[in-house]
Amino acid sequence: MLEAFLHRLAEEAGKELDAETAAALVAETRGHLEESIQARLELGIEPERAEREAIQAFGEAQRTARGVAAEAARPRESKRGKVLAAAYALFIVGVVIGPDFMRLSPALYYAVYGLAWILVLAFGVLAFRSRRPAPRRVLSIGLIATLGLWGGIGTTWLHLWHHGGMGETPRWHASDRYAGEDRTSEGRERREERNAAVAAAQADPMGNFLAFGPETLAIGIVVAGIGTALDGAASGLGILAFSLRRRARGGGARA
Amino acid sequence: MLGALDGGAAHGYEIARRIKATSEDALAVGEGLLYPALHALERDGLVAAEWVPQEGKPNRKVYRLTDEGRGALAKKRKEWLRFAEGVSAVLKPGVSGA
Repeated sequence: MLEAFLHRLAEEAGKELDAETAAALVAETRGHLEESIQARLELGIEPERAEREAIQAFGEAQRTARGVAAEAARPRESKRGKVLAAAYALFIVGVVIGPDFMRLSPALYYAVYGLAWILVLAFGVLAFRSRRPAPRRVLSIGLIATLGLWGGIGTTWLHLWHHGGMGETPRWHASDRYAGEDRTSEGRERREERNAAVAAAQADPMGNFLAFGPETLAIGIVVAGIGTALDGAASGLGILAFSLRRRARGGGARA
Repeated sequence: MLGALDGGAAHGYEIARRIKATSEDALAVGEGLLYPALHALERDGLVAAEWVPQEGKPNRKVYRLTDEGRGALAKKRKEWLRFAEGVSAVLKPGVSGA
């Protein structure tokens, strides 16, 4: 009776599913029915009746096979794709607005970055202290925000590095290499050219970014990646502690 | 099913048994219908499954809640409690319009 049922299931599954999935479904159903039959035998029910009742409780083979096939055919929502697209979009936003943002309001720029970092750390702390894992959304938002902001920081540095500095005070003002430059007219001209270049970079960061070419973008991505990885590592320790704690409690089994 | 797995990892028959026992037989669906639902939950990332070897028997597929599954369960619990409270309030004797 059991074998006949499984044979029917295999036939129905074979019509609806690929061979591997069909075989897995039959194997899983066999295990299910054997457990069900065993439970009835332990209650003292005679074998033939136990088999019949177990199959009856399971239901029709065709319904199970078609149900699994319908689920297999359902389009899967690609959450990962959406997260990656959001991360990429925020990275581009960081690249475009980062230099302007930093120039206009460095305090606000670092405040937003600090908030993103706090979100990442919050996940680590919550994961360590809480019995249940903190929502992944906290971590996702934090990491995506730091990715975008690090993208802005990375390209800001690159924009102004070529021109000797950041903000209002270019590097060469404090550098011994340029000491005494003001004494000669050529030196003053060179300084004025560099100041003009810094002003141009600060006034049109996107234009200068494009002028530097793909290597600028590549380095900006590397800086963004390193910065985000460092931030992610801060919460990684909390995640690890939480995982170890769950394992020690036996895989999270709760009444 | 997510609620049944909240008690720990289980294979299909055990999940059916937990649902039936916890609901005191109020919820007793065809056990075979669990598998399409389990496959759907697995595809959506709410449960994870692995084949566990057994001594002297074929391997058994065991399901467990993922972190996303726990989040979804918590959300559904909240929604259900809110819904149940609303229905109970409306069905209470003496409520005008009921």
